[in-house]
Amino acid sequence: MRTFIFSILTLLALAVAPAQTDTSAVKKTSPFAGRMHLRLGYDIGKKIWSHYRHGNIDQAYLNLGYGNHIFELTAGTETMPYTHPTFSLVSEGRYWKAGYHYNFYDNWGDMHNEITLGIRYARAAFDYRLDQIHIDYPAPYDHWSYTRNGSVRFDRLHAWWLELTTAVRAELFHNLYLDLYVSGKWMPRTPQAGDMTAVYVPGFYRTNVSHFGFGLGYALSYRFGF
Amino acid sequence: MKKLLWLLLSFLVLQSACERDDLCLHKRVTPVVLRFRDDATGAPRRVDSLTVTYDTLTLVPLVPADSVAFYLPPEPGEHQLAFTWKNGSLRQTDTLVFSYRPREEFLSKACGFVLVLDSLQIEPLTHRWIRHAEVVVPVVKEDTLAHANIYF
Repeated sequence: MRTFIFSILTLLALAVAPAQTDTSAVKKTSPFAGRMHLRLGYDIGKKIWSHYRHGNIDQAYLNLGYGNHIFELTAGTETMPYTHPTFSLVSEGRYWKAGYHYNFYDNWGDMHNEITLGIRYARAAFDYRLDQIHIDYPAPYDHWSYTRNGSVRFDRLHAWWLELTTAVRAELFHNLYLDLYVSGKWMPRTPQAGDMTAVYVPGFYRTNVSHFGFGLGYALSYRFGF
Repeated sequence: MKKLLWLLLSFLVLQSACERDDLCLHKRVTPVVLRFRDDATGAPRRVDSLTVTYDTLTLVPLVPADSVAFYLPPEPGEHQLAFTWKNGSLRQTDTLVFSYRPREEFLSKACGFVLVLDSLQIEPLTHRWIRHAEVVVPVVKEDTLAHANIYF
């Protein structure tokens, strides 16, 4: 499913990117050249998805662009439940990300769309509240299955990771943009919560044994030109 | 433009390297494995027809066996299990006391928590046909050849 969405995104990116037509007649200068801009974005994809999963994620970013170079700062707070057949917990925390992206899209005239590729460094600080442990016996001993309630807290957990991101930002109407992004993430060390390995990290999503993660989403942003 | 295509392609390749590691190969609850041995020689010895019951629950139905595996209840403390040997028309029942400390242990993101029985002890209360019990692996967590040997 995700690969399908990513393929669609790739096709979209290719469709938006212009064909390199004859430029000898008109010398066009990038509207970004020597000019700065500020972009403020809010991740609506994460907001909607998190509420669908009975949690909440607020993520916003600030981009400072100079020419085709973009410096980005992202911050987010999260409260997300995580469920497994044998346990359920609530992850609560915040994260920030700092990144550099390069815009490859050659804009024409007054347009300020972007197709970027960049890298980010991210850190998260979070807590776990382990609410429930459930042990299932196979049939015909199901009546021995039990659930142990009682919140066990794992506080002050930390994690950091790197991201490789590609994003497409297309203008919807006057200075308001729709951002579509895809990220590959790498977390060299999965943090421990007591005897548990952290199964979920705010900003990263579910951790993996392979230390790699994948994300995609969409945001709305507003561009301030100078 | 070509540069971007290559970048996006390499990204796709990167993404395909990510695989789901959702498979858990560990049992959520591990059954205790008992091996029956001859008291004189120590060699494996088969029980012609064995029944193991816990209260009203039959853990092992009437089967010939030199090795049995069954689940133990998750409560801590002592549990009395009745081991019945049917030899032709003759029936002998011995009570064995199983005591242990159950706990949940987190294994991995895929497996989550599993039930582990610590400090397993087996003591025969009666000795009608069972001579003694010897615990070899006192933690019921992994599948082993035998957690304990029952000598008769």
